Amino acid sequence: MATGTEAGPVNLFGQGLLLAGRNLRLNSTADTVSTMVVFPIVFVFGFLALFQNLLKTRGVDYAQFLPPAIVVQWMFSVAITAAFFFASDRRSGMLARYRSLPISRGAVVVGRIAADAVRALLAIAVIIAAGYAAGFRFQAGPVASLGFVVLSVGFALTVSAGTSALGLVSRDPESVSSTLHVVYLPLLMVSSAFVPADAFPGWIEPFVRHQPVSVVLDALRALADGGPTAGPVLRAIAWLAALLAVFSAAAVQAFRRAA
Amino acid sequence: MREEGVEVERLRKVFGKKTALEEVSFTVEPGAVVGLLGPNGAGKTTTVNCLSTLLPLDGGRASVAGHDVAGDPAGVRASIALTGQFAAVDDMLTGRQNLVLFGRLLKLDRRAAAARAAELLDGFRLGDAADQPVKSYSGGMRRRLDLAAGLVVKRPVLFLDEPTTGLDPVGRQEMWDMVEGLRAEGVTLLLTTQYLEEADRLADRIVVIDHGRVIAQGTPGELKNQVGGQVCEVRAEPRERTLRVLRERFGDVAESGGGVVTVRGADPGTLTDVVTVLREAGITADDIRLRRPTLDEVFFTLTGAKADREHEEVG
Repeated sequence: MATGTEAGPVNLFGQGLLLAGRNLRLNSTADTVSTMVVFPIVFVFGFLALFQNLLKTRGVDYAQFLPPAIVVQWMFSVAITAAFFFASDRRSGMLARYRSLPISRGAVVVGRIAADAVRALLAIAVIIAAGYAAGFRFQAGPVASLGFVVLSVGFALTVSAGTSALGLVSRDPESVSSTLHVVYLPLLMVSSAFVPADAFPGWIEPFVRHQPVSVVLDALRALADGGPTAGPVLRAIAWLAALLAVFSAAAVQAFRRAA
Repeated sequence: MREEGVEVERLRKVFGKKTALEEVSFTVEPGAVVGLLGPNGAGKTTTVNCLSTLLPLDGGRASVAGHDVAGDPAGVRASIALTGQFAAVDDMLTGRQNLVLFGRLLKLDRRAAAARAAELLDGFRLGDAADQPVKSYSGGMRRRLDLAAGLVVKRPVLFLDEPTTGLDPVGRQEMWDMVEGLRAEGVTLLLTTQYLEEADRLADRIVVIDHGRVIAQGTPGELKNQVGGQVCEVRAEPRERTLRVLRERFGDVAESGGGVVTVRGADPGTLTDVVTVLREAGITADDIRLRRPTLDEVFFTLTGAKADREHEEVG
C-alpha cells in the first residue's frame, strides 16, 4: 500500500479547513454572541465613560486611543481560547484520534490557526465598529488600516502559538485558561493599553514603555493615527518574530509529545 | 495487499524513569480477536498507543497489517481504526456531524460521508439521537458513536481500548453485541480490558500483561485451567481451626482477610466436601459460596506472588 498519502499541501489545507470548520462550530456554541460581540462593546464604551474626561485634561483623545487596546485584549482572549480547546481536545482524546487517522500531520495546526484567525478578524471588526461609533477613525489611509488588521491578527497568532504549547501539555483546560489569565492581565494592565506610559510611576515607566504589549500597541496606534509608522511597526515585528520563534518551537515540541 | 494481523516483538516503552513496557510480545492472527488483559497501569493503553503510532517505540518491533510501526507509520494509520476508553467524539457536535467530519477527513466526498454517517447511525442504534449534540448522550451511546467513528472507512485492523470501562450493565451488553458483530465480519481485533469476563466472552485468545510484561497467554479455556477453576469462600468461627481443618483436607487454602478462608482450585463438588469436612469437625459455617476467580487471583496464580493490595488488607 502506498505510504505518504498523508502528506502534501492539498491534504494539509483541505483537512486543515475541515478542522477549522469544526473548531469554529465549537466556538460558536461555546462563546456565543456575548463574549464575541457584547463584551468588546461594553469594554469600549465602559472605558470611554471612565477615562475620556480624565485623559482629555492630559490632551489624549481617548476615543482614538482606546480601541487598539481593546483589540489587543481580545487578541489575548483568542489565544487563551486556543489553549483551552487544545487542552480539551487532549483531555477528551480527540487529539489522539486525529493523530491516529491517516490525515496530514499539520492539519490540526492549520485548523487551529485558521479558526483563530477568523475569530481574531471577527473581534477586530466588532471593536472597530464600536470605536467608529465612539469617534475612532483610521487616519493614515487604507494601507495603514490593512496593516493594523494584519498586525493585530499576527499578534493573536503569535500569542496563540505560546498559549497552545501550554494547552498541549495540559489535560486541564480550566486551569490552563486561569493560569494564562494570571499572566496576561498584568501584562496588559502594566502597558500603554489603557493609559499612556507617562501616566505610570517613574520606576516602572521604562518597563511599561518597552514591554512587547506596549510595543505592539504603539505600532497599532501609529497605523491608526498616522505620523511616523516605520519605526514602531518594525519594533513590533521584531518582537513578534522573536516571540514566534520561541513559541512555535515550544508548540511543535508539545504537539509531537501530546498523544 | 497481503492480509496480515498484528505482530509485536519485544516491545519496549519508557517514560522518563518509569518503564511502562518491559518486554511485550504477542501476535494477532488475521481475523482473530485478541484480548489484552491486565489491571490499571499494566501497560495496555501504552501498547495500543505504540501500535497505533501515537507513541514512538523505545525497543523491539511491531507490525500492523504488514506495515512496520516505526518504518511506515502512515501505512499503519491507513490500516487501523482506534477507539479509546475516553470515547473521543466531539461533545459540541451532533452524532451525525461527528461522523460526517471523520468521513470528510478520510476523503469521502460530501454525499458519501453523509450516506456513510446515516448508515452507521442506524447500525449502531443512534438514529433517533443522530441530530442531538453528543453531550446529551448516555455513556453507552457515546461509546457506540466512538466505535462507529472508527468504522467510517473500513479498516482491516481495529484497536478497542477498554471499550466498556465505566459503562452500566446495559451499555456493556450493547457494546459486546457490537463487537461480536465486528468479529463476525472478520475484522482483526485487539481489545484491551480489565475484565476477565469480557476477555472471556469476546476474545479468541487472551494475552495477560502486568507491569509491562506478558505473564500468560492462551485461549480463555487454557488460562482458566492455569488459574485452576473456581474459588470457594468460607466464613466460619473459630477461624483458626477452620483454616487448619480445611488445609488438612484441601491443599490450596488461604486467609484472604475479613475473616474469610478461601479454597482455591474449587469446583461444585468442593462445596459439598467443604460442608462435610466442617460438619465432621463440628464447625458451623456462617456462609459458604463458590465464585469465579477474580482478576487478582488470576494474577496470584500466574505470577505466584501475592498482590500488593492483599498484603495491605491482611497487615
